[in-house]
Amino acid sequence: MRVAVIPSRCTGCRVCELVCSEVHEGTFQPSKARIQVLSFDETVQDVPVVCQQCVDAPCLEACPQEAISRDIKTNAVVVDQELCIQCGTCVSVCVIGLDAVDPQQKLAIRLDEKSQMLLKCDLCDGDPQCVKFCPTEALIFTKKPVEGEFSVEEMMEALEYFLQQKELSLPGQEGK
Amino acid sequence: MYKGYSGKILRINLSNLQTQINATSPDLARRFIGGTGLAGYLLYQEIPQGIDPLGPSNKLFFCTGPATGTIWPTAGRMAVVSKSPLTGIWAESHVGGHLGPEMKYAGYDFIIIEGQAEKPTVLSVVDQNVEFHSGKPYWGQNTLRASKEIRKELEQQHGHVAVIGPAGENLVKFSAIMVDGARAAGRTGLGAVMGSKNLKAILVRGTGSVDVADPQQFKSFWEEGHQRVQENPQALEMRKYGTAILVATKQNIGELPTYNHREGVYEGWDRISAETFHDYYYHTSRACGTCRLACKKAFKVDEGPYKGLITEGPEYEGIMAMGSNVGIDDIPTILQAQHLCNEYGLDVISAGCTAAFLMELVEHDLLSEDELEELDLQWGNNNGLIQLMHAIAQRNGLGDMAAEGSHRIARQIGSEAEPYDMTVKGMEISGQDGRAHRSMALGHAVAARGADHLRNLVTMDQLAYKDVAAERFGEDKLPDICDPYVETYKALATVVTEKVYTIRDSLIVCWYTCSWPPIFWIEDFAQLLTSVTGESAFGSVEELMQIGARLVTLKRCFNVREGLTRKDDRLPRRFTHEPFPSGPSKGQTVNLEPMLDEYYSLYGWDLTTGVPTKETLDSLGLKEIAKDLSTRGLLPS
Repeated sequence: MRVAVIPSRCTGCRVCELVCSEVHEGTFQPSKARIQVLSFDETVQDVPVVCQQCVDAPCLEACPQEAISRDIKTNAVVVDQELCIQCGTCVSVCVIGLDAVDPQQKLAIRLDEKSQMLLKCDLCDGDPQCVKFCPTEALIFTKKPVEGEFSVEEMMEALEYFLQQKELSLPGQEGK
Repeated sequence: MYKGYSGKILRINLSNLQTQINATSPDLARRFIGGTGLAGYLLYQEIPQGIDPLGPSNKLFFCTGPATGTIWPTAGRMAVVSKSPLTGIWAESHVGGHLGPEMKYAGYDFIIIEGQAEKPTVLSVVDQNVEFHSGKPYWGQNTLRASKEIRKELEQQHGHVAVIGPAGENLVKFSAIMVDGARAAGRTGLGAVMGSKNLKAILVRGTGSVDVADPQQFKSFWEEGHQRVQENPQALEMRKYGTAILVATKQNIGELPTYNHREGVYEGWDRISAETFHDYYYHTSRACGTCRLACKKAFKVDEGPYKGLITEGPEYEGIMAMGSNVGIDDIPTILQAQHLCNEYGLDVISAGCTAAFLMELVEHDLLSEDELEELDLQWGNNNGLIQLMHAIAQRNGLGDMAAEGSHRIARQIGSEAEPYDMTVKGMEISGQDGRAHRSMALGHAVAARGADHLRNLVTMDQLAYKDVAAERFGEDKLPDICDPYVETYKALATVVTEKVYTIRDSLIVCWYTCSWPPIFWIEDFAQLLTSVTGESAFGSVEELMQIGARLVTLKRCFNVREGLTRKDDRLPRRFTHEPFPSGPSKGQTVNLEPMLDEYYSLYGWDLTTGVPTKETLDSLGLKEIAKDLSTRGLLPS
């Protein structure tokens, strides 16, 4: 299972970021949300970016401490913060934001400077709250492919455009 | 300090490039909450009487409230408060997007801009780091481009930007501050205040948090709040069409401003209706922070002179201002006009209504060929409207005069132009008409920033919410309180509504879900405030209504100090003496004076002058204001 993202349904309200930070941090702090929304103002579109729990997860394979593993129940790639030594190897190999110069600009897995914690989607133990509270079903908790969802490659591209502040142009929405 | 607040106020002085951080006072928070309430008190204390709104003594308050940055539905908004260059009195304008929450995450309840920079400047506030940058590379740029380039240049792509366009730089009296692309703090000319300070933009990025007093209680409350919005049928309709659905609503009650308010029905209304916009031009929907409504609709034009245009908006107000009120039924033209307002940073209401005013002057031969130059401002002239928007923002030709707003133009031309000057206190009237919506007649006349529909608009009569009216005002007030064509009970409805809205504006949450559709009301705000701040006194509805009266009265006092009295609480002659010629509201005019009497009485303000009495100010806990006004000889004897 994973959180599939359908950008054509996203309105950019960022309820997902807030509920994520509330669940994981006990406060309203979008900078620590495991899901991040990228806004493109000229084409008036928004793209949520969140870990896709890759089948052959580079972060899991690269971790020198074996601090990253797969949760058999939820299929989430999860971090054991006790074992983690904050070396940043996982961040550097994550394909979403691979070309980002600054590792802080990577989104699907990143190191929070202040707390020295790895921030990464853990699927809320099988009941992802971002999916639950998304007003427009732009986020779907699923095992199967979903129509209109963004692939990892498309998220990579969106992030690259965002960092360059170039406009990403997607098809319009259905308007419901 | 209470929870919910960031607890800090950041002051940035552009004259000496100094910054200062003060604690947000718990005492003031208890008295004025936050948002425009707290800003009202600070503005009164810090802005001397009579100053030039475009001079260095004016200040610009970027305000949030205790709800801002939480997950409560529609808590993504913020307000900008200052002294208005358009009206010379109280200025406030609210704006969505994500800048307000970002300020809180950066650690600030307010950011106050003081002084005047020598050269074009861009400010960045990234958590505790405040930096001054040259604004020269961006000066002259349109708002979208400037925001993007600033984010990229400062490597703050996740930052949110408040920016002015050429209109603000050129001190157009109704220029806007734009946020996150197309969100506008549009009304009262705040873009010109920013322009006068040589401040092109402020970028804010915050990585901190907003903490609430009782997370458990708040969680069950916000979950229920989101559910209530999600299930509301009108909210669903708004999510599909946005506020454009009001075009049909207004047409049906004869309140769709047409030909500079000469008519209340428009023959081309169905060509600019929500369905037409949606079916032929819909592109995407956008929401401000934490909002499930997503009432912001983006549209795309596929053919004609504006082929390829993608733009956010217009709202109902933009459709009225660039459509029915100027006799234009061509959606691509309306979209282009709205887009130019966003890009130049113009208030779409004042810009469109000034165009309507000029068109009526042309009809009555009150503008010379010389003044008009090449502009063709006949009713319904698509190209004329577009050319006028360019001219206003650049202050070219007639645009230079138009940039001063309808009221100043009327005064310049003289008494012949006065009948067509559709302003109150110098601000152009929003898309309502008191003749077909009697509570709004009073609301437009008394609101602190001039012809304002957002501080006191009663929806009970306009949209006939009978059950809601019975619940809020009592069964015995029906049917009159819901009859838009009579004055009865409209002062009562306006006063109660105004107090609730001023609490809403101090939290800060959105107009929608409170005013329309009527989902949340004062009881909800009481619960919201206590769970977020931990102050139990906010849990009393009575106490909140008393604070509401305090905040409305405080704004009134700011205007009183600038010389305003009852004589300024007036409507254009057209509303009081010119009956609607056709439609469902045919024959209607406004009888304003009895409503004014009742309104002042309900607040405890003097009937002759419209000024709050010393007793009222004392009982509202505004002793220092009473003392100041008394010293100036401004209190009624």
